[in-house]
Amino acid sequence: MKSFLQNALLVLLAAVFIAGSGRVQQGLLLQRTELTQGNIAPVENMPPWVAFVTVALGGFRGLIVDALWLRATRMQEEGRYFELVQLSDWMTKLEPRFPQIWEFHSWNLAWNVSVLFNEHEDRWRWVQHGMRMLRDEGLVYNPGAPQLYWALGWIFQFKMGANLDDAHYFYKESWAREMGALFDGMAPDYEQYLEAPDTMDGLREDPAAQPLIKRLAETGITILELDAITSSNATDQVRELMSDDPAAPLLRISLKRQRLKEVYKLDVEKMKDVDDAYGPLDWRMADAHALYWAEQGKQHAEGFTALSLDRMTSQCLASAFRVGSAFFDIDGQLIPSPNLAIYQHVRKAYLEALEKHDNESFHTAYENFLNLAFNYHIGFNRTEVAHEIFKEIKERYPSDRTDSGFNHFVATSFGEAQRELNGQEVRAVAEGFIIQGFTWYARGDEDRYRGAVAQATAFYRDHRKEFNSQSHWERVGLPEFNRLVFKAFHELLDRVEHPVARQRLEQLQIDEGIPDKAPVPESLLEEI
Amino acid sequence: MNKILAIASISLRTTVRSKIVLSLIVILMMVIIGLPLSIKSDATISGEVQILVIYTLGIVIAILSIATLWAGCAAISGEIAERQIHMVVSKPVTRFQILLGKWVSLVALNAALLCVSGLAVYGLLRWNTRPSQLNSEEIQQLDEEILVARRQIRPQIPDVDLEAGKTADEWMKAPDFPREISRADAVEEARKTILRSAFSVPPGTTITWKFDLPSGVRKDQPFHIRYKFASGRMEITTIRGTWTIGGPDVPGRATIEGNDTAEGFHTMRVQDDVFSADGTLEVSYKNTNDQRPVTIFFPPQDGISVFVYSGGFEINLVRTLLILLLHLSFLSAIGVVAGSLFSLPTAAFTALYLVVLLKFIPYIEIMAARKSFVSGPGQQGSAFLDIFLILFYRGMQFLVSPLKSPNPLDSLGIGELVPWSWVASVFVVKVVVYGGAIALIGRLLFYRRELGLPS
Repeated sequence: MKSFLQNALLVLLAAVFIAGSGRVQQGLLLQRTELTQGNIAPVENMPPWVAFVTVALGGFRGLIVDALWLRATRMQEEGRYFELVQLSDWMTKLEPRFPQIWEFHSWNLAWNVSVLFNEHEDRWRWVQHGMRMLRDEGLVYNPGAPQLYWALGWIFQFKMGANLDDAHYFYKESWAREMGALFDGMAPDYEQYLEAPDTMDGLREDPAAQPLIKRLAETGITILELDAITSSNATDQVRELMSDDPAAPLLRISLKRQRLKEVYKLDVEKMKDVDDAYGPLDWRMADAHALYWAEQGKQHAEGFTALSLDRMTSQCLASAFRVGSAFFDIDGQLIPSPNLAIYQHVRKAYLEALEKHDNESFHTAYENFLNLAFNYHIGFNRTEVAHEIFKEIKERYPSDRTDSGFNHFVATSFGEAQRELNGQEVRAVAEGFIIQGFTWYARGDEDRYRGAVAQATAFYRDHRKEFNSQSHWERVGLPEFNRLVFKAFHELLDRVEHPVARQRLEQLQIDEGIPDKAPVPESLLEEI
Repeated sequence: MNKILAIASISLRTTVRSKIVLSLIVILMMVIIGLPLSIKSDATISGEVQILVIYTLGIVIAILSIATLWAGCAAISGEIAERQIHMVVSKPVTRFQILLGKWVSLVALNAALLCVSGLAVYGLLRWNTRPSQLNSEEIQQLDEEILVARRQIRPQIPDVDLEAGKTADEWMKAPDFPREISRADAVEEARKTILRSAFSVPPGTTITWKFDLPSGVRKDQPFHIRYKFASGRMEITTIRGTWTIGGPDVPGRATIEGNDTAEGFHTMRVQDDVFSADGTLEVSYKNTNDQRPVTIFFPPQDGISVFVYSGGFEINLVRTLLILLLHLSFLSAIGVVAGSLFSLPTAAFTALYLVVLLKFIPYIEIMAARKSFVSGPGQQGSAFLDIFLILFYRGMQFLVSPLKSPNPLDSLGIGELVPWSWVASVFVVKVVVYGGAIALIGRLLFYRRELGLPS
């Protein structure tokens, strides 16, 4: 009896202690969240084996990581890359709350290993390994570690967005294709996407989607997957359902939103916030994603990391202005193009920086940006904005070029050296602009066609004005402008094989009244 | 012999009855089937196969090694602790026969378990690489590069010893040459410098290597050239070059244009008959990176190798398993002898210590190569301690270095030949020499051990 009482008392005491430690634990976790650098909150969705390993191995984890690290280094030196993903995975899982390990290994895979391969597909695979390591796992275990957001943004900004890697076009195209499958145009239609359920349970419970889900189930589609209902993979019956049913857009958008969230870890609401602040961004391009991750990291950052993330934002904005819009050629090839719509955001960022740092280097940077922005707006035939930019350049940074007026500024916009060009060179440059314009037209971008032709016209006229004598024009071989147009057009038309592009050019020929090649005497062609 | 086999047979039966074998088989099967589901490869089929081979068999060996050590230690110490040994030693068997009998039983058990594991891994491998799951390119890659036994042939290295000696002597004549550097070190450095120069390819120049092919190479099989180079300028990472496979006298001489990244390993497949009549292969590389001229450098040790077909994967797997079995036999010897001398916990820790020591052989070699431990340039240290440590590490190196052996799974996984000579050398070193030495030490000490002590 005595023994029973003793045991009962011990069990009771144990229960009291366990309950007490549970209560203390809550407070400790809160303190940990507040006091730890980077607000490292406890992870709730850690897989059981990771949680077990981190607790059970204790300090020995470090030794195991060292051994794995040595092996990984040796494997990399010997060119046996196939083990690196697994070894990196183990190392990071053994120290899941150590952001530097995630940062190092994702960097190693995305930057160091990728460039050891010749084939662009192989490189892209390794860039993705590095990206996924951070995005899918590192940030899950360390949601408050700003350097991981920065490292992820860095992959988007420089590995994919810049041209440091020979395969950067492949990365850009691959990414644009992946994103392009999840929304139409530059960005998701936020209104529609935010209304659509972002979980499978939510979708199944949505009364508007239920009848269609039921009908799809009758065709054999019980597991709703985007690929199963998209046109290329779907059966005729499914395709018919998805084209006729009024709930089909909701279903499609919900599945796309879910993929954005689950695979790419992109929250449409947060995307909208970033777009509201800096957009309209083209989310098929890498710069927009670098901006997104930089913005997410800023919420946890302070000190130098906060400064780095600020820099990432401004650099990405400038880059997105230059090449942040995806233009797809008629054969589907991606042509990164300027995103003029974010001009005011970039300008605002520069002006804020100027307010903070009113020194010469910032002014030089801003003047260069304004000149670039002017050229781009002229190139895209956005003369209204170009006039505004010209006005600002004239006020802030007056020069002989600005004093000579808008037209002269346009004509000399690509460089002061044009004054030293001879007639042959002027002809070549003007012709180049015209061919460029027709090429853009053939690709379906009328704005850029008009812009390029306007640039050619301004350039040509400026030179004619500068050297205003018929004898000079004849001596240097500078023909009439319409002859340049004629020659450039037919030179391009002869080269273009794509039926859509040819059709567009032939229509343009009719609209602009460019004569056919045949009636022009060969002697005239030779002459020009 | 019969007595040894009788003891081995009794031990085996006891082990089987204790369900240890069954448990081990279940654990091994769980690992073999479960591990591939949880590991990540580089998302290529070749990577998956390599990971499957190396990791599953690696974990199998790790489990068997631990089990072997434990079972070896427990084999005799357990019988001593439970007094069963009294029954055995009272029979007409020597103590050495008891030791050998226990060892044979462990080897037989390991052989059976390895056989089952090897078959399971092979079956899983064939199931995962069944033709319906792969495209033709993947099938070809697996057949020619991974699920095969290829011999790696390195190029002939020019004999530069004489030149290195002369260069070192020239260096040593210079007034500013550091006096503390010995001639041997200077010659070695000169050798490396000359080799580096010999393996460098300045812009527009050509380098030629010659490979001695072993007899019996099947010329109807495609072979692969694996190469790696470094760029003289960090900013130039992609280099154009022209490969010429085969000497000028070879009718099937092939020319291949390359555009490769520096620092990465690249593989070139060659199908043509490009071997010379004397059984050699000549390979040339011309640096044609004209637009951005840069010197490139092929590391002499692993800059270029030729891989030729030498046999099928299955026999390579068998040889690998044999080497692993020999390694387990060596561990069994350590375990059994340790168990015959100490109680189970002490024996287990002693055996574990020895196994860990084997893992540190590379570091022991590094330490043994040091010329001083306590004094450096401009520092005074204890000469006695220095001599003691140098002798200690060199002694350790002498004792354990022969046991250093690469992991055959690393070769098997990348389709490299595991030759019979490797199996033989492991047998001689680990079983005959070291296993024999351990057995003799065990015999000597076990005979002196008093087994009838009251507890």
